Amino acid sequence: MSPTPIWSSALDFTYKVLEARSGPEVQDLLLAFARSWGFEYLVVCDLPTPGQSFKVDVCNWPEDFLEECARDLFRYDPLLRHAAQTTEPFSWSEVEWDRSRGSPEQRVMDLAASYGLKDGFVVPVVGLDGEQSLIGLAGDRAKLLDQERRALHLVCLYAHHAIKAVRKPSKHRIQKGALQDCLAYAFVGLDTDAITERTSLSAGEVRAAWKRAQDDLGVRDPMGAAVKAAVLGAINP
Amino acid sequence: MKRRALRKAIPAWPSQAGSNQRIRVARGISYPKGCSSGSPLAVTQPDFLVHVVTAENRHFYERELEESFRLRHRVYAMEYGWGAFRRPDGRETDRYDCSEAIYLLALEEGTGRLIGGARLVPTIEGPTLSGLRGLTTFSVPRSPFIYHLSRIVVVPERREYPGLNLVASALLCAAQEYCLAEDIEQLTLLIRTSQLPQYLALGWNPQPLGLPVSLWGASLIPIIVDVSEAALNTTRTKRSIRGSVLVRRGITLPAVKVRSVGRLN
Repeated sequence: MSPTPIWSSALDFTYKVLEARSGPEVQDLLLAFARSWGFEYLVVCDLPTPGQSFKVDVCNWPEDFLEECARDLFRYDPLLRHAAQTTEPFSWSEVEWDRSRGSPEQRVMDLAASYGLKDGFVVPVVGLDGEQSLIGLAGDRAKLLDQERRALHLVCLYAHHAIKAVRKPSKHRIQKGALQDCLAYAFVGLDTDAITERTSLSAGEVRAAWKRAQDDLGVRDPMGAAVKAAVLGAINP
Repeated sequence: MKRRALRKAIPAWPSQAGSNQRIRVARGISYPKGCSSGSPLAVTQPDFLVHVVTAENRHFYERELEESFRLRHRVYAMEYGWGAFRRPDGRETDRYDCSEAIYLLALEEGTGRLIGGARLVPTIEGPTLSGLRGLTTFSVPRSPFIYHLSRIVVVPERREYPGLNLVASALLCAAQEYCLAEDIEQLTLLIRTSQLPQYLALGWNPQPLGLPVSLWGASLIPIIVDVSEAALNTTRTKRSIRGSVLVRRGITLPAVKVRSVGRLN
């Protein structure tokens, strides 16, 4: 079976998005992919549990609307409620809510529509420990064919991973080569001062690199990490 | 170089056929104190290991293997409701449950009770993904160095929390460990699309082989993943699994039977 254009662009997206360096870059890539189907707005957020606030990773919603959601409205959002109950993607039109005038749920959806978010597509995401989040796309009109829906499901999952990866707090972004250098120098007994003299890293970056290696390799000290890395062939001291 | 180093790290198993000696590699799972039971950081001591079962040592595990077929049926046919997996005798098997299959069975220590399992099948014998018409956009690569990982099941009472439970985590570690030691380079899988974030988070570098499809009432996606020390280490770190979880009992022949002169570096 030869790849269809939509499959090719979806596959291309999965490669590009994992190289993104920021949430806005992921946002731009995903919206560029989804724009042809009427999506202009994107939100990536954790599903709030009772007592928690509305935590957003990436969002280009109108600011006023986002403020109202973060303040209170998200408690009545039928889409968030539905996303908490399924792992399958869904269009807004597939969700049931109380559509009577004045119901809190309908007020949320009416307010969203007033800001141009009239239709949309939601991809729930469940993490390793069961933590729930979602990617939501919205726009003036969204009409997806089956293959488009499946492609969007795939790219949203990769986009979500990319966003979480670029947002991971890391005071020191250690490049792979620098990490290996730090371990190799530790293997031959150099301390942080000696390593900073030989590399462009600061003492803090050297210590962070060792800590990262210790965590990855399951050892307690830099020398242990260096030895294990040498045994596994990850470094050539 | 890396794989030779890993081979040396695994203790040798008995050379005599039919030996009853159980070789246990280091107990692999430990947790920090003070963490709640059932989470990846649980205080509970590890109580299971993952046993490698091949055609050569299958006679040690006939009872457990039989139980794994019944567990597969309970999970896929009864729990998931996938009619294609329903069998009148309550055992879920297919043509790939043959002499070439390698089983990873999670057995409780002490009781020997089966609590989970998985299956590895060489793609060179007939790639299982290509057998499902229209599932993949690309042809599934056939190679002695690519295996298909499937039938990952865990008994319901050991799925302590949503997300990736401990037994499934150990089975994935075991798959990576075994493949690294056997020079298997990649794995294909057919997974629930909703599980894709977990494989991404574990550093398995999943590459889709097609768009998600609706099959047996679920959204599934075929992927190919890396076998690598990085993937193994990330999985162990993120699931708080220290060291090896594998047990090899009796003689096991190399999984990859092709002479690979020059591939080891």
